[in-house]
Amino acid sequence: MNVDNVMVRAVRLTKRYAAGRAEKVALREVSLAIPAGQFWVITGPSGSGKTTLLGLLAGMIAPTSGEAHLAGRPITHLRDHHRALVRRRLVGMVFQEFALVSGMSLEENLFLPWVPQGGAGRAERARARALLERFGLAEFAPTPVERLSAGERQRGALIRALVADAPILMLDEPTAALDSENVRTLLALLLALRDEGRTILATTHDRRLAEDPRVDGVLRLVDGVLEP
Amino acid sequence: MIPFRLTDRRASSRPARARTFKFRQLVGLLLMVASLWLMGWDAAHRRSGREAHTASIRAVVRLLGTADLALSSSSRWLRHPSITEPGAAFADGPAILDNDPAGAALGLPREVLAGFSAEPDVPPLMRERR
Amino acid sequence: MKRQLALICFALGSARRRAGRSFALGFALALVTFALSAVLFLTEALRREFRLAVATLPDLTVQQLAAGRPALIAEQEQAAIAAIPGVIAARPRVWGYYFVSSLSGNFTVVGVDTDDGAVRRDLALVSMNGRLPSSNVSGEVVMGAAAAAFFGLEPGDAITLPVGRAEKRLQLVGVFRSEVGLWTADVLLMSEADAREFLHVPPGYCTDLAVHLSTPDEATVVARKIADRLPGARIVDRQLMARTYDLTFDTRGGLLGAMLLPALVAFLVLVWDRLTGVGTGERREIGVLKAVGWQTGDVLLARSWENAAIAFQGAAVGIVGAYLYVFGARAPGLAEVLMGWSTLYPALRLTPAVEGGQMLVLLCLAVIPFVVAGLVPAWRVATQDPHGLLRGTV
Repeated sequence: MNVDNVMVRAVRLTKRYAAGRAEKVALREVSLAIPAGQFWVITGPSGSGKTTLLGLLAGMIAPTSGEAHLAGRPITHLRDHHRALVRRRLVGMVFQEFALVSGMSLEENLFLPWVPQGGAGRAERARARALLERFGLAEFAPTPVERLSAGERQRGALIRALVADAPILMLDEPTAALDSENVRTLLALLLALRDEGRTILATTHDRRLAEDPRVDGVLRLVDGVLEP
Repeated sequence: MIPFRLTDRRASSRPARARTFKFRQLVGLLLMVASLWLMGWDAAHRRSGREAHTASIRAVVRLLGTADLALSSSSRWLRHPSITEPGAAFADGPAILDNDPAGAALGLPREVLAGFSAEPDVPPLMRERR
Repeated sequence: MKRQLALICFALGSARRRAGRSFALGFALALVTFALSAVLFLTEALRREFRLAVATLPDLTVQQLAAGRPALIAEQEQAAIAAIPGVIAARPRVWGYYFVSSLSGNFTVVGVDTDDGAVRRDLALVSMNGRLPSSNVSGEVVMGAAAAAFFGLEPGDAITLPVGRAEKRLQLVGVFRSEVGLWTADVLLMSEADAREFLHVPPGYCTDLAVHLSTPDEATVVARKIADRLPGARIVDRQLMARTYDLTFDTRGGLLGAMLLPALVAFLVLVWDRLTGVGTGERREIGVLKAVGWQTGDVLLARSWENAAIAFQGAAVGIVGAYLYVFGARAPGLAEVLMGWSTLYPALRLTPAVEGGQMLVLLCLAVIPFVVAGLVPAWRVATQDPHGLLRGTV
């Protein structure tokens, strides 16, 4: 139960990787709390651990120590299978590289997460159709994704994250491949989604996103440590 | 409704590809299964057709006195028909190995060389010294 | 079921996206399966034809040896053999090889008593174009289809063949049909008197004796007794003949299989190389799947279906192709290798002898190694960090 309305919480999250004989610390005792229905940005230079933090918060990778909570539910100590189930229900993820499979159409990519369950249901298909219309991509549904522009692929990845109708949206460097016009468009979209009640967390080193006054909060990560 | 300006290439310059090919491939897979089934059906049909000729085949074997097929075997006690390997005609002795390559590498089972499975009693060699 | 169907459709899509690799593997597998299946189909079909008739063989065949070579046997030995307990009949047979220089090969001349009721009944049962030879009439012959074709004869035509310094005119009254072609291709069936003339077998002698027993299991015992009565005779029993034919088919089939071995090894190397390396594109795709929520097990299952689909289609194409090649086209090229060198080949009208169970085994042998070979590399990739896979850093 989410008593204090915190949708995403990290408690002293630490992640160490083996790098040859030495050990690399990607994140060091990171704690944060993102309230429900807000749009937060995590900024920092390249290699500061933003992607790793997002992966830990989304339950994609397990921390070396510490805990992550989604909608008041701790996910760190869940088994992989249960963690994946929770993630599918609570988090829509947009990756920096869009994570679209070349050779598959936009539509097939949208329903990729549901293949192991036997395919997307009617509700997901209806939501996908509506989102494609809303984002102006309806006619590109059968188009192979490698034929789409970067902006179209970005929107496609966003649609896939929204089809599951998850309350939390996480985006990793969403503006990396976009021009200014598309960045403005994306920002407007994310704010609209925030206003609809979604909790949004985006990592970026793009100042256009980080310094926008309409963003609810900005956290700065440097060398794996969250600046106060 | 969030307005989107399509600053990218127009859709008309990039015709959408036809729907995915997965159904075509599934059909391909099913066709393969159907081909195999058809093959099995044809084999069973041919076998039952062949049964009708069994009486004829047995009659021929009785007439000819042999069931050997008109194939070359280079074995001297099977009839060979016009189809004999060169050199096989010279291998007439009961224990002469067949010219088949396998016979050169590995010996044939002894009973095949002997010609029948039981050997008659043979008296020991008698030697006389001057 | 729905889950498996969805994964299969995804797997088929993956195979299509990697069309070059899929085609190369499937094609190579189809070739190897085709070759092995064709050899298997042909040898089993030939073996089946032989086994169809082996029960009708005489239980024992007695030949006389002289100077270590088969010689004519005196017909009077028949009485001595017939007197052995367990022997139903000892029938003298007149048959042999007749060399024709223009063929550079031999025909098999078989003499039968055209007056004998049992012989006439058998002649009536045999598939033949034309008519039966008349009772006790000289100069009539029934030929095998290949022999008649060689001489360019049809029923009603006549041919004069040299016999020693003389000649013998033979009228073709009948031609054996292709259903019995495997046994009769080179046969010239005539009256016993004509056969003796052709083969220079004097009266009182015959080529060998066909012995029928009341209890076939006693063949060994009776053979020993015959050997006692006829020192120097060679006695061949039915089981031995069957065994020799099996050996022949096994040898030839095995030889062909051994010749295919380098191709099989090359194919296995190709499979190993293609399946154990997971390319950059495939690694990224696995990263995407893990990133969007697929479990490692889901990834492995999809990969297994993909490899199974490629292997199944390749093997099925090979097997069906081999079936059409052997039973439709009559195995040109391969049939000659299995039958041996010849100047006169029977028309091969073979019946499939391989059962459904054997086909299933063949399919499994093709599919399972493929699937297994692809699992380990896929597992190694699927257990890595999805972000690293997406970026190409792992």
